[in-house]
Amino acid sequence: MKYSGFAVFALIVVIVTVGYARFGALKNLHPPKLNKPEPVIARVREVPVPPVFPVEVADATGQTMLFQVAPKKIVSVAPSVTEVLFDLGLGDHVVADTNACDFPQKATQLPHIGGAFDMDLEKIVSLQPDLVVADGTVNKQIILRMQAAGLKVFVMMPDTLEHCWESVRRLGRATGCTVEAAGLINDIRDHLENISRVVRQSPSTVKVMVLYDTATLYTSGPNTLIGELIKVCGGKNIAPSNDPLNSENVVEQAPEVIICSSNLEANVAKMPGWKGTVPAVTNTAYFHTSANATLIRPCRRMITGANELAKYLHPDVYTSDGRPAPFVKTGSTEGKPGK
Amino acid sequence: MKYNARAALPAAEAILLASLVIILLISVSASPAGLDTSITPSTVLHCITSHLPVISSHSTTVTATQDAIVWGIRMPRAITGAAVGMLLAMAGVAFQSFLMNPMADPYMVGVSAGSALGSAAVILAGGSAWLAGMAQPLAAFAAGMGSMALVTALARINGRLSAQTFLLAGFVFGTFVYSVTRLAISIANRQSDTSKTGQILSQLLGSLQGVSWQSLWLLMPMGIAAAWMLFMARKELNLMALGEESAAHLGVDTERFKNRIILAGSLATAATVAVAGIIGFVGMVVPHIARRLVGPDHTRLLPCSMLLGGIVLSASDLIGRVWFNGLEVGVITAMLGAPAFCYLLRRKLVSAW
Repeated sequence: MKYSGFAVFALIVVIVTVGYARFGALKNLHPPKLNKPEPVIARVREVPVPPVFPVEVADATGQTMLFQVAPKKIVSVAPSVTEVLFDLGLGDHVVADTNACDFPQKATQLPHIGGAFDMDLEKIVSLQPDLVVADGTVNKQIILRMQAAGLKVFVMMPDTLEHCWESVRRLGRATGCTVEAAGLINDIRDHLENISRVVRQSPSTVKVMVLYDTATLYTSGPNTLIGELIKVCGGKNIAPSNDPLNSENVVEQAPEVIICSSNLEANVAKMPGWKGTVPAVTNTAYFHTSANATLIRPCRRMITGANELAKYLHPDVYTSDGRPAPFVKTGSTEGKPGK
Repeated sequence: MKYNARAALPAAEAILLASLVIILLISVSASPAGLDTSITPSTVLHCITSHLPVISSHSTTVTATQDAIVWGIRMPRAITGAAVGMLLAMAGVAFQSFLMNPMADPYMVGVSAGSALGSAAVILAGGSAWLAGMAQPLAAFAAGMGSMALVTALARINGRLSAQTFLLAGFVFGTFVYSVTRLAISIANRQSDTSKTGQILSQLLGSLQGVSWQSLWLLMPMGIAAAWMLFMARKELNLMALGEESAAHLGVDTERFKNRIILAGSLATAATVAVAGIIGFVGMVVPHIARRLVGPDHTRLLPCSMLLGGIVLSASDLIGRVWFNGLEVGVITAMLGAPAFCYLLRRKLVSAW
């Protein structure tokens, strides 16, 4: 009691001392720099195998399911899944999808089982589907509830390109669409391989940041689907991992292009200290994902998204009509995005 | 008079002021992990002098990146943080004294809930960038002041405002408005635009991320006005400690006095919530510590609380920004504040206020 004034002062001194000590020590604590070789999309071709029934297929969670015949009534609980099902030619078997399923046009007219956060489990059960296809990266909670309700749930896990192919392959076996699945994978992979070959002619890599929110700077690191697509398209993701970024690191890394939804653009522009130092903000070089969601859905439309991103990042190796340029001047960095 | 011994501590204000300056310097110099750009105290000094109009030296030692980090991000954040802490502690002193309730804090009056709802409404409407980004803080401020007016009107019975009805009205109104904010979060969630939910939540958690020089244009005028009003009322605040009736007998126009205190406290609180969201416990705990340091005379209590509030908030933000990967400052003050309050309670200091 008698010394509480002194105690407060002592506490302040301790905070000050510890603060300086830590501040000095932290300089050596940089996260290790990832120095991986440039990714090349493997020139592997899928060999289509004719479908077999009955067949046992394990989904991305490792759960094995027995299919006597190809499922006739399928419910999709994610926009990405809906697009893959339509890509595989299973559109006629999809009996319901979500509010957010906006492609293809036919998917919007199907009965909806709710949105991303308020799915109606009772409605899914009442439709008596032969199979529910879910996306393990977005549907975590509803998957457990659906399994508890006795539904047959096939989980896709498109968190990287390789996992994306594997999920499509397995879905193809489960639904009797092995040929279509192989075709889809080959198609996407060929296009991505093409893109990566074209952008490699560009002398520069463009620094890219993915941003989902400005209140906390949520981002995607290199080991994600969007992270791999950025590499394919000749960009360098400034985020070392999926951990939220720090505003000061963003200034330091100075990304030249920001991939975000169009709603977020205005919030990004008023981030303190970014205008004038972060080239993407100064030049308003924003690449939008959400308008057509082409870049974040692992399906055939990914080709369109990747093409657009590659052209945005490397206009120097594409002609004005969007075709790869016939030859490229080396050493030129003109024509970068955002003037 | 138990506190006379305390009041004899002559250098309390000087020590607090020095500590505040030191903490501000540390928070501007300290870099979080993973930042390659080296920022030393001398960089900070060069950077600040290069922006001062009179002794502006075009120092070549500061790069554009260093300048953007120090002057564009850290300086406004540090100053706003200190100002927010000061205003919250000051409003806390005022509300505790005039409500004669040691549990009172600046948020009891429903101002914070109102401001948060104002923010949430603008975010939900997709207008967080309207008016060059000022729409959200302005709406929050207006909604906070509106809540204050509503609560005061609700609590006034026959032209008289009693402390108990005021607290009750503030509590009921705040709870109701908070439930509307939760409705807003639920709607934002259904829109599956995660950035909106994140923005509303960061308002409720209380965060200094995203604070810019612009924020000070709202905070400073309101804060200075409120501080001036409260400091002018320091004698009446002292008299109110004797009880409302005694104060009235000693010549205080208690109803007008209460209006002034509520207005000043709400101005300060609404301005802080508008720029930084709801930062808890500073306004409740800091006044108690300040009372221990300098006693109950508002002539010293008000400035000491302000300095201490600034220190607590700046230090909390420094801790969160540098060592906890940008943890919201409101989370840290709440985690430190509740145990501190518990400690004070155990030592029976709260009852001796």
